[in-house]
Amino acid sequence: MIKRTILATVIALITASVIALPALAASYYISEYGNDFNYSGLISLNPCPSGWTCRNSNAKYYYLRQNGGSFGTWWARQAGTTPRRMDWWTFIPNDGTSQVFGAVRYRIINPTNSPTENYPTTCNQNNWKGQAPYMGYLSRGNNTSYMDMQNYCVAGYSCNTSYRVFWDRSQFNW
Amino acid sequence: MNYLFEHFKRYRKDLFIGVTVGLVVGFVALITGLGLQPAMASHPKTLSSIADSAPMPELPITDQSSVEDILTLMKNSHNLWKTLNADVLTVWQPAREPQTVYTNIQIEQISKARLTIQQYNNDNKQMFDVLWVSDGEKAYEQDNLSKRYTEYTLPTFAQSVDDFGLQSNSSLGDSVIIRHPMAVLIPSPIADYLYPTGLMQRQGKLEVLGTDKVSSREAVVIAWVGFDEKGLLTGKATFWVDSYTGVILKALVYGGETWDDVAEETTIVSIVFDKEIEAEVFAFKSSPDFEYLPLEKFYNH
Repeated sequence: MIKRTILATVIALITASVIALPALAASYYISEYGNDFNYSGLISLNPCPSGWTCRNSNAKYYYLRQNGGSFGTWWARQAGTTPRRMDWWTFIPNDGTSQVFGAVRYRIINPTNSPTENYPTTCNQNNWKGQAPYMGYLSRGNNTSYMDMQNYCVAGYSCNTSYRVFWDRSQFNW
Repeated sequence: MNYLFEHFKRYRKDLFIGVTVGLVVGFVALITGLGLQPAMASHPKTLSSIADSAPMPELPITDQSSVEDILTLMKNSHNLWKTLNADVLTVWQPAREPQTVYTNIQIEQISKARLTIQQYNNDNKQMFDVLWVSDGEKAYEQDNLSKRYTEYTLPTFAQSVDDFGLQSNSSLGDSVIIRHPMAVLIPSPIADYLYPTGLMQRQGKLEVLGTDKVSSREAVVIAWVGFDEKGLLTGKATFWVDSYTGVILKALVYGGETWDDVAEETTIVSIVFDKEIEAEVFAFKSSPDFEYLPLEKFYNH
Protein backbone atom coordinates (compact mmCIF):
# COMPACT_ATOMS: atom_id res chain seq x y z
CA MET A 1 0.00 0.00 0.00
CA ILE A 2 2.85 2.39 0.91
CA LYS A 3 4.62 1.55 -2.33
CA ARG A 4 1.46 2.27 -4.33
CA THR A 5 0.99 5.60 -2.55
CA ILE A 6 4.59 6.60 -3.23
CA LEU A 7 4.34 5.76 -6.92
CA ALA A 8 1.05 7.64 -7.31
CA THR A 9 2.65 10.62 -5.55
CA VAL A 10 5.61 10.51 -7.95
CA ILE A 11 3.22 10.56 -10.91
CA ALA A 12 1.35 13.46 -9.29
CA LEU A 13 4.59 15.45 -8.83
CA ILE A 14 5.71 14.80 -12.40
CA THR A 15 2.33 15.91 -13.75
CA ALA A 16 2.29 19.05 -11.59
CA SER A 17 5.85 19.90 -12.67
CA VAL A 18 4.99 19.56 -16.36
CA ILE A 19 2.31 22.19 -15.86
CA ALA A 20 4.21 24.51 -13.57
CA LEU A 21 7.87 24.39 -14.72
CA PRO A 22 7.44 26.22 -18.04
CA ALA A 23 5.99 29.06 -16.01
CA LEU A 24 9.16 29.27 -13.93
CA ALA A 25 11.12 29.94 -17.10
CA ALA A 26 9.26 33.16 -17.74
CA SER A 27 10.31 36.50 -16.31
CA TYR A 28 12.88 37.55 -13.75
CA TYR A 29 14.52 40.70 -12.50
CA ILE A 30 18.07 41.40 -11.49
CA SER A 31 18.54 42.29 -7.86
CA GLU A 32 20.37 45.58 -7.50
CA TYR A 33 22.14 44.24 -4.42
CA GLY A 34 23.64 41.13 -6.02
CA ASN A 35 26.73 40.33 -8.04
CA ASP A 36 24.85 40.65 -11.30
CA PHE A 37 24.30 44.38 -10.87
CA ASN A 38 27.09 46.90 -11.16
CA TYR A 39 27.69 50.55 -11.87
CA SER A 40 30.46 53.08 -12.19
CA GLY A 41 30.56 56.81 -11.48
CA LEU A 42 29.10 58.85 -8.65
CA ILE A 43 25.71 57.29 -8.92
CA SER A 44 23.22 58.11 -6.18
CA LEU A 45 21.16 55.44 -4.50
CA ASN A 46 18.04 56.92 -2.94
CA PRO A 47 15.12 55.48 -1.03
CA CYS A 48 11.92 55.73 -3.03
CA PRO A 49 10.01 58.65 -1.44
CA SER A 50 6.33 58.45 -0.73
CA GLY A 51 4.46 59.89 -3.69
CA TRP A 52 6.74 58.06 -6.12
CA THR A 53 6.22 54.83 -8.00
CA CYS A 54 9.37 52.70 -8.05
CA ARG A 55 10.31 49.07 -8.60
CA ASN A 56 13.39 47.54 -7.04
CA SER A 57 10.96 46.06 -4.50
CA ASN A 58 9.60 49.61 -4.18
CA ALA A 59 12.55 50.50 -1.99
CA LYS A 60 15.34 52.27 -3.86
CA TYR A 61 16.33 53.79 -7.16
CA TYR A 62 19.60 54.88 -8.73
CA TYR A 63 20.10 58.15 -10.56
CA LEU A 64 22.68 60.47 -12.06
CA ARG A 65 22.49 63.91 -13.60
CA GLN A 66 22.55 63.91 -17.37
CA ASN A 67 26.01 64.74 -18.73
CA GLY A 68 26.76 66.33 -15.36
CA GLY A 69 30.52 65.85 -15.54
CA SER A 70 30.30 62.63 -13.54
CA PHE A 71 29.71 60.04 -16.16
CA GLY A 72 28.47 56.67 -15.16
CA THR A 73 27.22 53.42 -16.49
CA TRP A 74 25.00 50.78 -15.06
CA TRP A 75 24.90 47.20 -16.15
CA ALA A 76 22.92 44.18 -15.22
CA ARG A 77 23.63 40.62 -16.15
CA GLN A 78 21.47 37.56 -15.89
CA ALA A 79 22.53 34.18 -14.63
CA GLY A 80 21.39 31.55 -17.13
CA THR A 81 23.79 29.43 -19.11
CA THR A 82 21.97 27.94 -22.08
CA PRO A 83 21.98 30.37 -25.01
CA ARG A 84 18.45 31.32 -25.89
CA ARG A 85 16.16 34.25 -26.52
CA MET A 86 16.31 36.85 -23.79
CA ASP A 87 13.77 39.70 -23.74
CA TRP A 88 14.83 42.88 -21.95
CA TRP A 89 12.82 45.70 -20.49
CA THR A 90 13.30 48.25 -17.75
CA PHE A 91 11.18 50.23 -15.34
CA ILE A 92 11.42 54.03 -15.21
CA PRO A 93 10.37 55.35 -11.79
CA ASN A 94 7.72 58.04 -11.57
CA ASP A 95 8.38 60.97 -9.27
CA GLY A 96 4.80 62.21 -9.63
CA THR A 97 5.99 65.72 -10.56
CA SER A 98 6.42 67.76 -13.74
CA GLN A 99 10.24 67.47 -13.49
CA VAL A 100 11.70 66.48 -16.88
CA PHE A 101 13.80 63.30 -17.06
CA GLY A 102 16.63 62.95 -19.58
CA ALA A 103 16.97 60.74 -22.63
CA VAL A 104 19.47 57.90 -22.45
CA ARG A 105 20.97 55.17 -24.52
CA TYR A 106 20.70 51.56 -23.41
CA ARG A 107 22.80 48.83 -24.98
CA ILE A 108 21.80 45.19 -25.11
CA ILE A 109 24.76 42.90 -25.50
CA ASN A 110 25.57 39.25 -26.03
CA PRO A 111 29.37 39.36 -26.28
CA THR A 112 30.22 35.67 -26.48
CA ASN A 113 27.64 33.56 -28.25
CA SER A 114 27.77 33.25 -31.98
CA PRO A 115 26.54 35.39 -33.53
CA THR A 116 27.45 38.09 -31.03
CA GLU A 117 24.88 40.85 -30.62
CA ASN A 118 25.43 44.42 -29.51
CA TYR A 119 22.88 47.06 -30.31
CA PRO A 120 22.05 50.48 -28.85
CA THR A 121 18.51 51.65 -28.15
CA THR A 122 17.33 55.14 -27.35
CA CYS A 123 14.88 55.88 -24.60
CA ASN A 124 13.57 59.29 -23.61
CA GLN A 125 12.88 58.50 -19.95
CA ASN A 126 10.55 61.48 -19.78
CA ASN A 127 8.08 59.61 -22.00
CA TRP A 128 8.05 56.52 -19.84
CA LYS A 129 7.65 57.67 -16.24
CA GLY A 130 6.03 54.85 -14.28
CA GLN A 131 6.17 52.56 -17.33
CA ALA A 132 8.26 49.58 -18.38
CA PRO A 133 9.42 50.06 -21.99
CA TYR A 134 10.58 46.97 -23.87
CA MET A 135 14.12 47.15 -25.23
CA GLY A 136 14.08 44.18 -27.59
CA TYR A 137 15.78 40.85 -27.25
CA LEU A 138 18.97 38.92 -27.71
CA SER A 139 18.40 35.84 -29.81
CA ARG A 140 21.20 33.93 -28.05
CA GLY A 141 21.59 35.41 -24.58
CA ASN A 142 23.45 33.63 -21.79
CA ASN A 143 25.28 34.42 -18.55
CA THR A 144 27.62 36.88 -20.20
CA SER A 145 24.78 38.91 -21.70
CA TYR A 146 23.83 42.22 -20.22
CA MET A 147 22.06 45.53 -20.58
CA ASP A 148 23.78 48.78 -19.75
CA MET A 149 22.85 52.44 -19.69
CA GLN A 150 24.84 55.67 -19.77
CA ASN A 151 24.01 59.22 -18.72
CA TYR A 152 25.60 60.84 -21.78
CA CYS A 153 23.44 63.24 -23.77
CA VAL A 154 21.86 61.75 -26.88
CA ALA A 155 21.82 63.75 -30.13
CA GLY A 156 18.36 65.03 -31.02
CA TYR A 157 17.15 65.15 -27.42
CA SER A 158 17.30 67.94 -24.90
CA CYS A 159 20.67 67.98 -23.15
CA ASN A 160 20.59 69.52 -19.70
CA THR A 161 22.73 68.87 -16.64
CA SER A 162 19.71 69.45 -14.40
CA TYR A 163 17.91 66.45 -15.86
CA ARG A 164 18.07 63.26 -13.91
CA VAL A 165 18.32 59.81 -15.48
CA PHE A 166 17.29 56.68 -13.60
CA TRP A 167 18.01 53.02 -13.25
CA ASP A 168 15.36 51.31 -11.21
CA ARG A 169 14.95 47.68 -12.18
CA SER A 170 15.85 45.69 -15.26
CA GLN A 171 14.01 42.55 -16.13
CA PHE A 172 14.23 39.81 -18.66
CA ASN A 173 12.32 36.83 -19.90
CA TRP A 174 14.33 33.65 -19.94
CA MET B 1 10.98 1.73 -15.97
CA ASN B 2 9.67 -1.71 -16.80
CA TYR B 3 8.69 -2.12 -13.19
CA LEU B 4 6.72 1.11 -13.25
CA PHE B 5 5.04 0.12 -16.48
CA GLU B 6 4.04 -3.24 -15.06
CA HIS B 7 2.91 -1.65 -11.83
CA PHE B 8 0.64 0.87 -13.48
CA LYS B 9 -0.65 -1.75 -15.89
CA ARG B 10 -1.76 -3.69 -12.85
CA TYR B 11 -2.99 -0.72 -10.83
CA ARG B 12 -4.39 1.67 -13.42
CA LYS B 13 -6.29 3.41 -10.68
CA ASP B 14 -2.98 4.56 -9.12
CA LEU B 15 -1.91 6.16 -12.39
CA PHE B 16 -5.28 7.86 -12.77
CA ILE B 17 -5.16 9.20 -9.20
CA GLY B 18 -1.54 10.38 -9.62
CA VAL B 19 -2.26 12.24 -12.85
CA THR B 20 -5.49 13.76 -11.49
CA VAL B 21 -3.85 14.93 -8.27
CA GLY B 22 -0.89 16.28 -10.28
CA LEU B 23 -3.20 18.24 -12.58
CA VAL B 24 -5.07 19.70 -9.64
CA VAL B 25 -1.87 20.62 -7.76
CA GLY B 26 -0.29 22.09 -10.90
CA PHE B 27 -3.28 24.27 -11.71
CA VAL B 28 -3.71 25.36 -8.09
CA ALA B 29 -0.05 26.39 -8.09
CA LEU B 30 -0.56 28.40 -11.28
CA ILE B 31 -3.76 30.05 -10.09
CA THR B 32 -2.54 30.95 -6.63
CA GLY B 33 0.95 31.89 -7.82
CA LEU B 34 2.78 29.82 -5.22
CA GLY B 35 6.18 31.07 -6.30
CA LEU B 36 5.10 30.77 -9.91
CA GLN B 37 3.97 34.29 -10.58
CA PRO B 38 5.64 34.45 -13.98
CA ALA B 39 2.99 32.13 -15.33
CA MET B 40 0.11 34.32 -14.32
CA ALA B 41 0.06 36.29 -17.52
CA SER B 42 1.76 34.09 -20.05
CA HIS B 43 -0.05 35.28 -23.16
CA PRO B 44 2.17 36.86 -25.80
CA LYS B 45 2.22 40.64 -26.00
CA THR B 46 3.48 41.58 -29.43
CA LEU B 47 3.16 44.53 -31.76
CA SER B 48 0.61 42.70 -33.91
CA SER B 49 -1.48 41.45 -30.97
CA ILE B 50 -1.69 45.04 -29.73
CA ALA B 51 -2.60 46.35 -33.21
CA ASP B 52 -5.24 43.65 -33.67
CA SER B 53 -6.89 44.15 -30.28
CA ALA B 54 -9.69 46.24 -31.84
CA PRO B 55 -11.17 46.58 -35.34
CA MET B 56 -9.70 49.33 -37.48
CA PRO B 57 -11.89 52.44 -37.72
CA GLU B 58 -13.13 53.94 -40.94
CA LEU B 59 -10.67 56.47 -42.33
CA PRO B 60 -10.18 59.34 -42.11
CA ILE B 61 -10.71 59.83 -38.40
CA THR B 62 -12.37 63.10 -37.47
CA ASP B 63 -13.11 65.07 -34.32
CA GLN B 64 -16.29 62.97 -34.13
CA SER B 65 -14.29 59.73 -33.93
CA SER B 66 -14.25 57.90 -30.64
CA VAL B 67 -11.16 57.87 -28.48
CA GLU B 68 -10.97 54.08 -28.99
CA ASP B 69 -10.94 54.49 -32.79
CA ILE B 70 -8.16 57.07 -32.61
CA LEU B 71 -6.14 54.79 -30.33
CA THR B 72 -6.64 51.82 -32.65
CA LEU B 73 -5.51 53.86 -35.67
CA MET B 74 -2.36 54.97 -33.84
CA LYS B 75 -1.55 51.40 -32.74
CA ASN B 76 -1.89 50.30 -36.39
CA SER B 77 -0.16 53.33 -37.87
CA HIS B 78 2.99 51.48 -38.98
CA ASN B 79 0.84 49.21 -41.18
CA LEU B 80 -0.63 52.14 -43.12
CA TRP B 81 2.43 53.46 -44.93
CA LYS B 82 5.46 51.94 -46.66
CA THR B 83 7.86 54.86 -47.03
CA LEU B 84 8.09 58.39 -45.76
CA ASN B 85 10.32 61.41 -46.14
CA ALA B 86 9.95 64.15 -43.55
CA ASP B 87 11.58 67.34 -42.33
CA VAL B 88 11.04 67.93 -38.65
CA LEU B 89 11.67 70.82 -36.27
CA THR B 90 12.01 70.16 -32.54
CA VAL B 91 12.45 72.86 -29.92
CA TRP B 92 13.29 71.73 -26.40
CA GLN B 93 12.32 74.03 -23.53
CA PRO B 94 11.11 76.79 -25.92
CA ALA B 95 10.48 79.26 -23.08
CA ARG B 96 13.91 78.99 -21.43
CA GLU B 97 17.29 78.30 -23.03
CA PRO B 98 15.79 76.56 -26.06
CA GLN B 99 17.65 73.89 -27.97
CA THR B 100 16.63 73.52 -31.61
CA VAL B 101 16.89 70.32 -33.63
CA TYR B 102 16.48 70.01 -37.39
CA THR B 103 15.91 66.46 -38.57
CA ASN B 104 15.42 64.96 -41.99
CA ILE B 105 14.24 61.37 -41.91
CA GLN B 106 13.61 58.89 -44.69
CA ILE B 107 12.23 55.43 -43.99
CA GLU B 108 11.45 52.39 -46.08
CA GLN B 109 9.71 49.83 -43.94
CA ILE B 110 10.61 47.58 -42.29
CA SER B 111 14.08 48.61 -41.34
CA LYS B 112 15.76 50.91 -43.86
CA ALA B 113 16.19 54.46 -42.62
CA ARG B 114 18.38 57.51 -42.97
CA LEU B 115 18.30 60.55 -40.75
CA THR B 116 20.35 63.69 -40.29
CA ILE B 117 20.23 65.51 -36.96
CA GLN B 118 21.51 69.03 -36.44
CA GLN B 119 21.10 70.47 -32.97
CA TYR B 120 21.84 74.00 -31.71
CA ASN B 121 21.78 75.52 -28.23
CA ASN B 122 20.24 78.87 -27.32
CA ASP B 123 23.45 80.69 -28.40
CA ASN B 124 23.07 79.07 -31.81
CA LYS B 125 26.17 76.97 -31.16
CA GLN B 126 26.01 73.59 -32.86
CA MET B 127 25.75 70.78 -30.31
CA PHE B 128 25.30 67.79 -32.61
CA ASP B 129 25.61 67.01 -36.31
CA VAL B 130 24.83 63.35 -36.78
CA LEU B 131 24.04 61.02 -39.66
CA TRP B 132 22.37 57.68 -38.91
CA VAL B 133 21.77 55.14 -41.65
CA SER B 134 20.26 51.68 -41.59
CA ASP B 135 20.56 49.63 -44.78
CA GLY B 136 18.29 46.93 -43.37
CA GLU B 137 21.14 44.74 -42.13
CA LYS B 138 23.61 47.12 -40.55
CA ALA B 139 23.29 50.51 -38.91
CA TYR B 140 25.89 53.28 -39.14
CA GLU B 141 26.21 56.39 -37.04
CA GLN B 142 28.50 59.23 -38.03
CA ASP B 143 29.40 62.20 -35.83
CA ASN B 144 30.24 64.99 -38.27
CA LEU B 145 31.66 67.24 -35.54
CA SER B 146 34.23 64.79 -34.19
CA LYS B 147 34.65 63.09 -37.58
CA ARG B 148 34.07 59.60 -36.26
CA TYR B 149 31.68 56.83 -37.16
CA THR B 150 30.63 53.41 -35.97
CA GLU B 151 28.63 50.50 -37.28
CA TYR B 152 26.75 47.54 -35.83
CA THR B 153 24.57 44.71 -37.04
CA LEU B 154 20.86 45.33 -36.61
CA PRO B 155 19.26 42.93 -34.17
CA THR B 156 17.22 40.14 -35.74
CA PHE B 157 13.96 41.64 -34.52
CA ALA B 158 14.38 44.54 -36.96
CA GLN B 159 13.12 42.09 -39.60
CA SER B 160 10.16 40.62 -37.72
CA VAL B 161 7.91 43.44 -36.66
CA ASP B 162 4.74 41.43 -36.05
CA ASP B 163 6.36 39.12 -33.50
CA PHE B 164 8.23 41.90 -31.76
CA GLY B 165 7.42 41.82 -28.08
CA LEU B 166 7.09 39.44 -25.20
CA GLN B 167 6.38 35.80 -25.94
CA SER B 168 5.01 35.55 -22.41
CA ASN B 169 4.09 38.71 -20.62
CA SER B 170 5.74 39.92 -17.44
CA SER B 171 4.04 39.08 -14.23
CA LEU B 172 6.39 40.96 -11.96
CA GLY B 173 3.97 43.83 -11.71
CA ASP B 174 4.86 45.62 -14.93
CA SER B 175 2.66 46.27 -17.88
CA VAL B 176 5.38 46.30 -20.50
CA ILE B 177 5.16 48.83 -23.32
CA ILE B 178 6.02 47.41 -26.73
CA ARG B 179 7.40 50.21 -28.87
CA HIS B 180 7.86 49.60 -32.59
CA PRO B 181 11.34 48.06 -33.11
CA MET B 182 12.41 50.98 -35.29
CA ALA B 183 11.21 53.43 -32.64
CA VAL B 184 13.58 51.61 -30.28
CA LEU B 185 16.48 51.63 -32.75
CA ILE B 186 16.21 55.00 -34.52
CA PRO B 187 18.05 57.49 -32.28
CA SER B 188 15.55 60.34 -32.49
CA PRO B 189 12.50 61.51 -30.54
CA ILE B 190 10.65 61.64 -33.86
CA ALA B 191 10.69 57.86 -34.11
CA ASP B 192 8.00 57.48 -31.43
CA TYR B 193 5.84 59.99 -33.34
CA LEU B 194 6.25 58.16 -36.65
CA TYR B 195 5.56 54.84 -34.88
CA PRO B 196 3.10 55.98 -32.18
CA THR B 197 1.99 52.54 -30.95
CA GLY B 198 4.30 52.64 -27.91
CA LEU B 199 3.24 56.10 -26.77
CA MET B 200 -0.42 55.15 -27.02
CA GLN B 201 0.00 52.02 -24.89
CA ARG B 202 0.77 54.22 -21.89
CA GLN B 203 -1.89 54.33 -19.23
CA GLY B 204 -3.80 57.58 -19.45
CA LYS B 205 -6.79 59.55 -20.65
CA LEU B 206 -7.43 60.97 -24.11
CA GLU B 207 -9.66 63.83 -25.07
CA VAL B 208 -10.46 64.98 -28.61
CA LEU B 209 -9.91 68.74 -28.90
CA GLY B 210 -10.75 69.34 -32.58
CA THR B 211 -9.15 69.34 -36.02
CA ASP B 212 -6.28 71.26 -37.59
CA LYS B 213 -3.88 71.11 -40.51
CA VAL B 214 -0.18 70.34 -40.15
CA SER B 215 2.12 70.26 -43.16
CA SER B 216 -0.96 70.41 -45.42
CA ARG B 217 -2.39 67.26 -43.84
CA GLU B 218 -5.64 66.91 -41.93
CA ALA B 219 -5.07 66.20 -38.25
CA VAL B 220 -7.20 65.44 -35.23
CA VAL B 221 -5.94 67.20 -32.11
CA ILE B 222 -5.96 65.17 -28.91
CA ALA B 223 -4.96 65.87 -25.33
CA TRP B 224 -3.27 63.06 -23.41
CA VAL B 225 -2.78 62.90 -19.66
CA GLY B 226 -0.92 59.91 -18.25
CA PHE B 227 -1.30 58.10 -14.94
CA ASP B 228 0.63 55.23 -13.44
CA GLU B 229 -0.70 52.28 -11.47
CA LYS B 230 -0.89 54.40 -8.32
CA GLY B 231 -2.83 57.12 -10.13
CA LEU B 232 0.15 59.50 -10.08
CA LEU B 233 0.56 61.83 -13.05
CA THR B 234 3.20 60.59 -15.50
CA GLY B 235 2.93 63.12 -18.31
CA LYS B 236 0.85 65.54 -20.28
CA ALA B 237 0.87 66.17 -24.04
CA THR B 238 -1.12 67.46 -27.00
CA PHE B 239 -0.81 65.51 -30.24
CA TRP B 240 -1.86 66.38 -33.80
CA VAL B 241 -2.72 62.98 -35.30
CA ASP B 242 -2.70 62.44 -39.08
CA SER B 243 -6.27 61.52 -40.03
CA TYR B 244 -5.26 58.78 -42.48
CA THR B 245 -2.10 57.26 -41.02
CA GLY B 246 -2.22 57.92 -37.27
CA VAL B 247 1.29 59.40 -37.39
CA ILE B 248 1.82 62.24 -34.88
CA LEU B 249 2.43 65.32 -37.03
CA LYS B 250 2.93 67.71 -34.14
CA ALA B 251 3.50 67.25 -30.42
CA LEU B 252 3.55 69.52 -27.43
CA VAL B 253 4.94 67.74 -24.39
CA TYR B 254 4.49 69.51 -21.08
CA GLY B 255 6.77 69.53 -18.06
CA GLY B 256 9.48 71.52 -16.32
CA GLU B 257 8.75 73.69 -13.33
CA THR B 258 5.01 73.13 -13.78
CA TRP B 259 2.78 70.96 -15.94
CA ASP B 260 1.88 74.09 -17.95
CA ASP B 261 5.46 74.59 -19.18
CA VAL B 262 6.27 73.23 -22.64
CA ALA B 263 9.23 70.86 -22.43
CA GLU B 264 9.22 69.92 -26.11
CA GLU B 265 7.56 71.15 -29.28
CA THR B 266 8.01 68.95 -32.34
CA THR B 267 6.46 69.75 -35.72
CA ILE B 268 6.71 67.83 -38.96
CA VAL B 269 7.12 70.71 -41.38
CA SER B 270 6.92 68.54 -44.50
CA ILE B 271 6.07 64.90 -45.03
CA VAL B 272 5.54 62.68 -48.07
CA PHE B 273 4.21 59.14 -47.70
CA ASP B 274 4.73 56.21 -50.03
CA LYS B 275 6.92 57.80 -52.64
CA GLU B 276 9.69 55.50 -53.82
CA ILE B 277 13.06 56.25 -52.21
CA GLU B 278 16.20 55.54 -54.21
CA ALA B 279 18.25 52.60 -52.88
CA GLU B 280 21.42 54.68 -52.56
CA VAL B 281 19.79 56.79 -49.83
CA PHE B 282 20.18 53.83 -47.49
CA ALA B 283 23.76 53.04 -48.48
CA PHE B 284 26.39 54.36 -46.09
CA LYS B 285 29.77 55.56 -47.29
CA SER B 286 32.17 56.97 -44.74
CA SER B 287 34.31 59.95 -45.61
CA PRO B 288 38.02 59.04 -45.95
CA ASP B 289 39.12 61.43 -43.18
CA PHE B 290 36.61 60.02 -40.66
CA GLU B 291 37.82 57.59 -38.00
CA TYR B 292 36.05 54.31 -37.35
CA LEU B 293 35.39 53.44 -33.70
CA PRO B 294 33.79 50.32 -32.28
CA LEU B 295 30.37 50.90 -30.75
CA GLU B 296 31.42 50.92 -27.08
CA LYS B 297 34.10 53.56 -27.73
CA PHE B 298 31.96 55.65 -30.06
CA TYR B 299 29.39 56.44 -27.37
CA ASN B 300 31.87 57.01 -24.53
CA HIS B 301 32.41 60.70 -25.02
